[in-house]
Amino acid sequence: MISLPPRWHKVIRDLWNSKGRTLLVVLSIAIGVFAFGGLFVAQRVGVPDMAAQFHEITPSNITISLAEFDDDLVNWVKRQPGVNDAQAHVSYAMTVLNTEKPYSIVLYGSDNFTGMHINRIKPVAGDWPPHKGDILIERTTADRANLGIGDTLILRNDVGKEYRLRISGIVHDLDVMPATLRPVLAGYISLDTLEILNLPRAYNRLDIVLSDEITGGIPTDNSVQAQEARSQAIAQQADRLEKELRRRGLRVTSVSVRRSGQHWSTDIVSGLSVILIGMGLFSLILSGFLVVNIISSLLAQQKRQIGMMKVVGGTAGQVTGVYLVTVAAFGILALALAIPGALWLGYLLLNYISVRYLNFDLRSFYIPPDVLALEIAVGLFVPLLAALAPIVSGTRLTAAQAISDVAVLGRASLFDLALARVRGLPGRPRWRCETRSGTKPGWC
Amino acid sequence: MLGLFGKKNSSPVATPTTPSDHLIDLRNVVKAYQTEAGDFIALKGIHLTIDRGEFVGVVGKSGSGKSTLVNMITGIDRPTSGEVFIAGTGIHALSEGQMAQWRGRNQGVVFQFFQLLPTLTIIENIMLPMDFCHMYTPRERRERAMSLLEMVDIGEQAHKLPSALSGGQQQRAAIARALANDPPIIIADEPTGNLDSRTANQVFELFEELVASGKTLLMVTHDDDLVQRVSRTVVIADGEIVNEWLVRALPTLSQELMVRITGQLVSREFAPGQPVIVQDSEPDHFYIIESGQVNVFLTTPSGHEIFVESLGPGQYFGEMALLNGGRRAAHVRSVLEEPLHAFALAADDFRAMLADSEETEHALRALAAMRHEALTAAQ
Repeated sequence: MISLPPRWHKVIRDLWNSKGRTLLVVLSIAIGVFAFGGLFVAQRVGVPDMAAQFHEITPSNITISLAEFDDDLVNWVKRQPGVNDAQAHVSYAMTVLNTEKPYSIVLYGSDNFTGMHINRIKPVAGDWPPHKGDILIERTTADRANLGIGDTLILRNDVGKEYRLRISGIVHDLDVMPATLRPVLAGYISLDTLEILNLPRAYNRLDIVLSDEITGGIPTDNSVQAQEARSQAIAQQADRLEKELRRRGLRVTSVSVRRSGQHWSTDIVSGLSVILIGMGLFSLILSGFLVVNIISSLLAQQKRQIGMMKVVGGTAGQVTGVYLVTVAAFGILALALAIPGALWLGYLLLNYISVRYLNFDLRSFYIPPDVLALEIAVGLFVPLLAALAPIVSGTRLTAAQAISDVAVLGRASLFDLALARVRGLPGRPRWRCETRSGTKPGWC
Repeated sequence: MLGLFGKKNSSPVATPTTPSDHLIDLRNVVKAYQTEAGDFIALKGIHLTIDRGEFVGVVGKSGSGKSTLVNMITGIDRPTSGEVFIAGTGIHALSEGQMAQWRGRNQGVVFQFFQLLPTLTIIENIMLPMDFCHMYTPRERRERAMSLLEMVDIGEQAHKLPSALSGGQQQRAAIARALANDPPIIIADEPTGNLDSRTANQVFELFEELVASGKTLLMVTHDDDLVQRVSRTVVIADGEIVNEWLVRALPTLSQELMVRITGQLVSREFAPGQPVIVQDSEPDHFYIIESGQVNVFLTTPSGHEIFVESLGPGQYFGEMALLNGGRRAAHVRSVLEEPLHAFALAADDFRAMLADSEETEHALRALAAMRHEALTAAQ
C-alpha cells in the first residue's frame, strides 16, 4: 500500500469508506456477469456433452413400426443401400395401476439387451439383463413414479387384464423422453416375459441406423440449412424403405424419423439457453444503469475534490483515470465474485436440468477459456462503458467550476423546463447555491 | 528549510508570448460572467504587477472581485479578455491540461477551508501534487512531504486523516501541500478566515518565513491586522484595483471613494528639478508621489530660499492651500537626481472627496497643521 501513488490510495479508500455503495455496485455487476456467465457456461459445456453422450448410444435414424416380423427382415434391411445397421425389438403400451396415479408405460422387449448396438441402454442398478417375470425401469421412471427395485408393478392391458411384474433393476435409456418431463413410464422386459403378459413373441419395431453418407456422420454443422439437408436425406431414405417394405407385403403402421440425428432436446436446450443468456445480459445492462447512477452521485459528491485535484496539478486525463480505475475496481471485485459464482451456478443448473429433465449425466464441467475471457471483458467493459459518459462530463469541469464557492450546479435543459411546466412548477429552474457557510436552497 | 525550496523546476509548458520583467503581470484583465440577469463584470480591466519576493495582501469587500482576481492569477479561471503573464508564461493561452500541470509546478494554492482530500492521509495529500506533476522520485516524494510537514510543525500528524486534525493543523497541512512542488509563488485565498486569531497569527508567521526564503506570496484577507504586516496592499473594489498610492497616502478613505478617486487621479511626470508647485500661485491640484522625490522650499520675504523637507513615494503634498484657502505657501520641486511620477487630483475633486470623508479631512488637516508649523518655524 505504501508504494502506491496517492491517487490510487484515494481509489482504494473511496471504495472501502463507502462499503455499502461499493457492495451495491459490485453485487449488481456480479449478478449480471454471474447470470450471463453461468448460463453461457451451461450452454457451452452442456450441449456438446449431451451430444457426445447421445452419439455413444448409437441413436437410430429411423424407427419403423410393423406387424410381427423376424430376424430375416432385420437382415434384409441391413443389406439395403444407405443402411448401416438395424436392430429389432418389441414395444407395447400398458397402464401401471399401483402408482400414486395410473401411468402409461411403454414396454421395451428384447432378447439381447447386452448385445444392443442401436439405442443402447445402460444398466444402473439391480439385475441386467431382465429375467422372465421381471421388469427393469428407466431411472426417470423410478423418480417420476417413486418406484424402486423390489417393487411390484401391476399392469393392465388394453382389454383390462392385469399382470404383475417385479422390478429387478434400473437402467438409463438416453433415447426415451424422461418420465420426469412426460408422464409416460418406460420398462424393459425379456421376450420370455411377453408370454406372461399374453403378448406375441415377435418383433414389432425396427431401429435403423443410416450410413454416414446419408446422415453426414456426427453433426458438426448445426446451422438451420445443414440440419434441413440432413433431415431431408434421412426422410427420403425412410420413404424408400417404407415403400420397399410395403412392396414386400409387410404392414407398416408408423415410421418415425429422427430429424437431425441429434438428441430430442438439443433445439429446446439451445433455444432456452439463448433466452436465458439474453436475460443475463439484460440484467448486466441494468447493472450498468446502477453504475451510472452511483458514479454520477459520487462525482457530484466529490466535485470539490475533483477541483482540488486539478488545482494541485491533476489534468482532466489524470482525474478521469482516478474515477475510471474506481469503476474498473468495481468490475474486478464483481468478477472475483461472479466467476466462481458463474461456475457454481452453471454447474448446479446444468446438473439439475440434465439429470432431471434431459436424462443425461454431466461428465465434465469447466469454464471454456473464451467464456472466461468474455466474462472478464463484459464484467469490466460494461461498467466502464456505462460510467464513461458521467465520468468524462464530471471531470471535464474546469477547476473554477469545480471549486467555486457560489456555483450554479447545473443548467436546466429544455426537458427539465418542460417537465417543470407539466408539474405546474415555475418554468425558471431553481438553482442550488453553495456558499462558504454551506449549501442553501433558493435563488442565487 | 531552505533545502526544501532550493530545487528548481523546469517550466513544463508555454513559452512567453510577451516578455515581462515582473513575476506576475496582469494586463487589462476583464472577467465577465453570464447570469440570468445579464452579464456581470467581476473584473474591469485590471492592471497589476507583482515582483519576486513581494508579500502582497489583496483586500476588498465581499463581492469586490478578490477571489476572481486570485483565480485569474492561479489560472483556476480564465479572463474574458486581457492577458496574464506569470514568470513570463502567458497562462491565459494555456489549455486546461497545460494549465493544471503548470499551476501544479509553479504555484501553491491555499484556501480558506483547506480543501484537503478527506480520504487521503495528511502525508498523501502532500504527495498528491508531486504525483500528478511527476515531480521527484516516489521515495523523494515521501521524504519531502515528511520534511514539509515537520517544517509546518505537524510531522506527527502525517499518517492521520484530515478529519482528525484541528483547523489550524489542517491549514498547516494545506500550506505544506502548496509547497510540495517547490513553486515560486504561493497564493492564499483567505487562509486565516477560518482560524482563531492565535492560529491565524501562526499561519501568517509561516507565510512571513516563506517570503523571507524567497517565495512570492499573494494573500487575500479580511483581517486588518494582517494587512498591516504585508509588504504591499492591493485594494480591489467593484472589480477595479484602487490606486495603491492613494491607499498608502489616504488609508482612511472608504473603498467606494477610493474607487471614485482612482478614476479621477491623473498620472503626471516631472523632469528632475522641475517645479511642481510654485509659492504664491493659485492652488489647482493635490499630489500623491508614486516614484521619485520632491523637496519643499520656502522663499522668505527677503528672497532667500529655505529647505523645509523632502517627500517620497506614498506621501502627498499640495493640500494646505486647498484646505485653508489662499495661495500656495511653498515651492515643491522634483529632486535633481531622478524624475518624479505623481498622481494629481484636481481641486474640485479634492474638495468633493473631503466633503464625503470627514475622517480623511481630519487626517489631512492634522498633517497640514503640522506642516504649517514647520513652515512657520522655518521662516
